[in-house]
Amino acid sequence: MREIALHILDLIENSVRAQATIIMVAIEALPEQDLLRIVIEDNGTGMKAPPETVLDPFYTTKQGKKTGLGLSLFRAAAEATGGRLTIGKSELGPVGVRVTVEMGLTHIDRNPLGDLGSSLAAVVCTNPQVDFRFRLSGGQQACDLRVWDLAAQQGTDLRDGLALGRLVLEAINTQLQACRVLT
Amino acid sequence: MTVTELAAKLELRPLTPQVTPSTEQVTGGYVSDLLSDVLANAPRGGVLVTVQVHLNVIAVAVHAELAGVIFALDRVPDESVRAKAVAEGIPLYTTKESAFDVAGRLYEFGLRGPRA
Repeated sequence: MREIALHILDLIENSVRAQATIIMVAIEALPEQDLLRIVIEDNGTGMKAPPETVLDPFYTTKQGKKTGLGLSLFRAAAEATGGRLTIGKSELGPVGVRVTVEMGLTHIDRNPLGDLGSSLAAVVCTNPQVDFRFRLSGGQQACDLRVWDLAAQQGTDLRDGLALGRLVLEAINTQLQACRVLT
Repeated sequence: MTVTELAAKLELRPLTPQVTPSTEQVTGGYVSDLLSDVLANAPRGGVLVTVQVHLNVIAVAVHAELAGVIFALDRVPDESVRAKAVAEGIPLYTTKESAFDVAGRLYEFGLRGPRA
């Protein structure tokens, strides 16, 4: 994918399909280690197969499909930048899943982060029932953004997906401007 | 032109002789190493030219219903990847030529790619 944001969107959709009610996404630039770290975790129903199986591009849980490329392509994109993708357990739930992706921050083959604001806004908009928690950090800047808290501060109805999406778009874009190393 | 005819004209080295290629006319061609791009843009029934030799290439070829994959610059995927291609019926070929030159020759044969 040309944008990392689309890989992230793909993995969030996996969490939503696993009936997660809490989904955390952390994106962290560590310039001193030349690292971009992305962590996506949830309290969903867990993976039905061991990590080496779910990373196989021919493994999918969707009926009528022969291939499952979300994790495989993200892993290949990470490895192309000297990084890696690992799958572990999340403490958010009894069988929660945590996917950690590390990429070379300044590696020539690393794709740009892309339109993260729009991607996250889209997923919040269509899943207002999920407790989304985002963390963006880079350089000296860090920001934790829990969508439900943000909505409470702004007096936004939690059932109004479109309004939540708008809040997320603005908040993420503002934070991305502050964290100039997150590109 | 079928995949078999095309492979003969380009003098491609077959990597999956166990696979019987489709006898349909090849619909077009695509050159890319970014597999999500291949997924989105490669023409169904067309051939892909790439230097990527990962298992993901085979999965993408299956998903995009490609007629075959040509690896440029003499790249050869691992045995496990070739075995998967055989199991999925995707013919693989390799050539010493660059992707640029392979694409040029495919174009001469009348194949075209998609437009954005």
